[in-house]
Amino acid sequence: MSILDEVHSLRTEIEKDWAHIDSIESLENFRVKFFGKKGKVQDIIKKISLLSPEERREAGRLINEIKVKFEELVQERKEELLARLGSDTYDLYITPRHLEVGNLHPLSKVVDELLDVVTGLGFEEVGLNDAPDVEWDYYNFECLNIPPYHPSRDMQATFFITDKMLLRTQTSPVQVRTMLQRKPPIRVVHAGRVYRVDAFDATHAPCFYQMEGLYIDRNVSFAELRGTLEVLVREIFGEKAEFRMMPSYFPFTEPSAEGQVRFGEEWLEIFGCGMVHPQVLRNVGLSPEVWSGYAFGLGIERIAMIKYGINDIRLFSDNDIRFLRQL
Amino acid sequence: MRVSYNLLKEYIQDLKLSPLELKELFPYLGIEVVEFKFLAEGLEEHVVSGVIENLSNIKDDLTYKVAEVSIGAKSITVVSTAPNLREKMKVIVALPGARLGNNVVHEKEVRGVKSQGNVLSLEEVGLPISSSGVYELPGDFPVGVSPLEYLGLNDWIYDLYIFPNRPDLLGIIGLSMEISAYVGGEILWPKVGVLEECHDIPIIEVLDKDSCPVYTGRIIKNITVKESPFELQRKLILLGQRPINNIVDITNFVMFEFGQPIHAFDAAKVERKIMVRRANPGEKILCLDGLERELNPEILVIADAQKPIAVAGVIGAEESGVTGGSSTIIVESAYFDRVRVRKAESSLGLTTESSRRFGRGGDPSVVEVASRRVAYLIKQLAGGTVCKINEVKSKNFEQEKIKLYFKDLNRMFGQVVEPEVVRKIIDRLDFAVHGKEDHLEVVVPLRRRDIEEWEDLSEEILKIYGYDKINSMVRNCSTFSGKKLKSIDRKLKVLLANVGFFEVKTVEFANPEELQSIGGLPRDFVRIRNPLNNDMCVLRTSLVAGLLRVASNNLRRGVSYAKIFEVGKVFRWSGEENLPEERMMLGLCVAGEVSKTWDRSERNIDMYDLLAGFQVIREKLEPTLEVVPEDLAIMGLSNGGAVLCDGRKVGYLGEVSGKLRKMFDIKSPVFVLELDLSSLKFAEIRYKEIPSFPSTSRDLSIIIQENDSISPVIRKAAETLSPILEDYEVIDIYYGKPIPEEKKSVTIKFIFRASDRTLTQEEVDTKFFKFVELLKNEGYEIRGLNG
Repeated sequence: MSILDEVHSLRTEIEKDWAHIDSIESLENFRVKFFGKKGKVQDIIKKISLLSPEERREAGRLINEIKVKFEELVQERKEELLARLGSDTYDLYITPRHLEVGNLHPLSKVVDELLDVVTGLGFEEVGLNDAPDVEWDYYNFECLNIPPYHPSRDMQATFFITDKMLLRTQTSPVQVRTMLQRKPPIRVVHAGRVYRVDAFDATHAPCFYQMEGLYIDRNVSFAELRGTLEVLVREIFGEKAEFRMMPSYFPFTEPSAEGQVRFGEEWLEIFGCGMVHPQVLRNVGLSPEVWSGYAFGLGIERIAMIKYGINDIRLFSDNDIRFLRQL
Repeated sequence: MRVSYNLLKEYIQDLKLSPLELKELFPYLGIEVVEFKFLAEGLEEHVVSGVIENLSNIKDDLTYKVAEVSIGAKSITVVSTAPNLREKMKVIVALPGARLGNNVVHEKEVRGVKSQGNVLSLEEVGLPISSSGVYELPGDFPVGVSPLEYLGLNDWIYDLYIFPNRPDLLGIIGLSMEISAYVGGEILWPKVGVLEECHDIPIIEVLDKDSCPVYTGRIIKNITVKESPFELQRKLILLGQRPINNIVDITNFVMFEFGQPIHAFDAAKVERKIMVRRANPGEKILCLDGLERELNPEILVIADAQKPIAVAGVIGAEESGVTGGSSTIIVESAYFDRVRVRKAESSLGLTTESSRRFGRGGDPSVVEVASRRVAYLIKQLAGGTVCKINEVKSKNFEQEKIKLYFKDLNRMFGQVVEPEVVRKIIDRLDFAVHGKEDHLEVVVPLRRRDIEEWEDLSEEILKIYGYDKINSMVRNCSTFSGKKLKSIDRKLKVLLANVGFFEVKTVEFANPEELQSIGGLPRDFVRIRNPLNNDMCVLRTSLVAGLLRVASNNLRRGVSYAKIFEVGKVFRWSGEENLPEERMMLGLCVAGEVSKTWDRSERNIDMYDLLAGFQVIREKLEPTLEVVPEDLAIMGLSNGGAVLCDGRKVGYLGEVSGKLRKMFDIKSPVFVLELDLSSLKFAEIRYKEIPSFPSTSRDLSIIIQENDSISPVIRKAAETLSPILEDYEVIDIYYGKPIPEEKKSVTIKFIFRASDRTLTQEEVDTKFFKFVELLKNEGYEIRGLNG
């Protein structure tokens, strides 16, 4: 075998071994075997150095080429393997480290989202002070055109504290308090707890959240009420939500309406609303000849139940962490 | 108000709507359909008339009879226990598949005989009419046809919710007028023509004219009290009323027709005269429902010369009621003040069909005609001699005249509705109307006393015009700056949720014993007069009870630990003249144990979890909150401390005592914090320059009593090491060998930095050793130092 053949066969061997390198160890073995001080390349170089210049030329050039090329490759591969060696292997299916993450109550979230929309329409939130849960009969009923013994009191079974003091059955007394304190135009929204004598079941609770908007100005129209509610519905339930208004009755609005949104085959009541009753305006010292307005109210639990697909109102006061975590 | 489709059709000529269309119309009239059902649901196709051809007994058993029933094309065998079966009797037969209430008829074996169907009573087809056993169809009734039409079961029931401002809709005629205003069709008025053959009138004295502006009484003599005919009984059942006897049934039926309650007294039981007066204190009356009730002077009664014979507008007395033995009766039709009737309802705790109508305000114009209607029906169904009516009237009711300006209406609607359209709508409502150039003069009939102002009229117009024909509009509201309240609680909630706490919302109601066990004072309790139950009879004075309940529920359901908070109001009684004090509080609660996972070891939730939450909010508040130890045993807490803000107590925290844990059924340690948010503020956030010189640190291990705090050491450090002491951190707490028992070793890392230079090691060492010396002099045992 000529020296040139030997170099060629060595190259074949080198290339074959190179293909099997998969770790830092096998790379090191490879380096020692071929390119170490006592390696096969060194051996052949020694052999070549003993040959005549003519015989040397081609073989020397070839072996040098192999040496340079592979020393570079080995270095590259070594860095590559070392980089890999520095880190562990990871099982992507191990449960990750625990992060402590809590959550807001879903009703807080719904209130907040609704307030974002309503304040965006120019309503100012009120009720930090002067929106008591324990309220005078006068603000909760009488001023809202519901005198004592009025039959519509039956619509809202009331928790009484004294003859004159009660747990508010609606957020509407905040309307009255606001109108008594401010001069129109008034554009306010309030969210808070209200109370009714209703035992807990899947759809009833003795206390729940309401939100209420009030707008008093010159020439306020039913068309604006409708427009405002439509914006709200689109924001809450999406662009495609279908909305309709139906007749209803509240002693403090005239005309009164119910705002309904369609879900599948069913129309669900979302808003109670209407134009502020002239008697209510008179009760707070505003002339219905000059001022008019609209008011709307909505139940927060109801919105949350529709939005999250919750079928039992008790879940909100039950506070199971597995429930709170989800929403 | 319950009403049936066929019944309404008797009062509206050519009602064009199908039963389902009518159901869908009601919401457009502002009437909610609570229930809608087909009466023959489950019976159609499965019920047929038959005749009993042969009747026999099963062997020796006399309770069962075997009937061969021909149902036209074929005969079937029916086994029945009904006592009134006989041969040649025409019966209603239910075949397999028929649904009777919740039961489905099947073929079945009874005592070895195959029964191929049932023979039915009226009750079984949904008509609980008094009759014994199986219902007998008339002798000429054809065999093999459906008896549903004959029984009036091809009908639909609407259970309607009527708003309290519309008492007129609590009568079939009122409902019919409302429907016809919307869809057209003449009202068919019921017959009221009756010959008054006798001049005897009852003596009537109305002593309280305000409460009873109109009272009429009419004597009818020589009547025959008996069971009502099937047709009337059937109608009453559809209307939701139990048939009693023909007289009572007629008064009830007319109430449902006209919305005008009527009462009939047995004249023989009425002593001399009828008086309408207030009840005397302590006066009692045994009512028709069998209960004796005590009256008071707020209640209006109908009385004879001696005793009350009815609570006016609410319920009659048992004694003076019409029974089988009655022959002469006095028919009362009156108009009572609604507030008076409501007062009787509320002090007696009793609502009847009658009081529901009077309490919402009746229609004075219908008093007399309803009496005539009753007389007419009695004459038809009970015979007798009808006498003249005696009417005592102290007030003339004026119809409301309203001016409706088109410009007002258009302004309210936000769009123009043509005057012609408005006028037509008012016509359809059957209100008298006179057109003027810019307005209409509308005369509102007395039955619609809910309409007092033009705004009330606008709703009626809108209903018929269509709520959905109003275009929507959003006005440019640039003059208003909408904004949310800048309250502290919204930010606090987000902060806590971000670090692993869950917001909960518990009810404001509380149990007084529970509140007392956490330090609540009974004099602070706001007490509810009509609570749902004892657990909810006062308003909470603290958030802690609610939080403990939530923690307990979660832990018992297998949630391993609870880190929860609530922001809500607490209430304190301030006397009858003032509303209770309401304060917004933050409550924090941690309990349970963290279970082992690969990345963390098992441990109990402890005080430091609570403090971690507290720390997060404390950092953001101003002025800084401080905690000082305080004995909170009275609140059921140990290891407790008061939270101070500027020296003022704004809250407290501590570990819940074993007794309290037992009360709330919590096994693991629990820690709570409550903070009054009303006076707290968020600190203004300012950027602090990032230090440009390096820090250095020294560790100190110190041995102290197990129960002692490191706080004196920290205070000393702050005094002696300032201004270069930047911060400290506890890096180890160690118990056990070689540390003596009841002692612990705490290792604190002190971090030093100067803002204007790099500190030299010598400078730090000098100060630090001086500090350590100071500690040693004070008797502290130093376990190690590390620079």
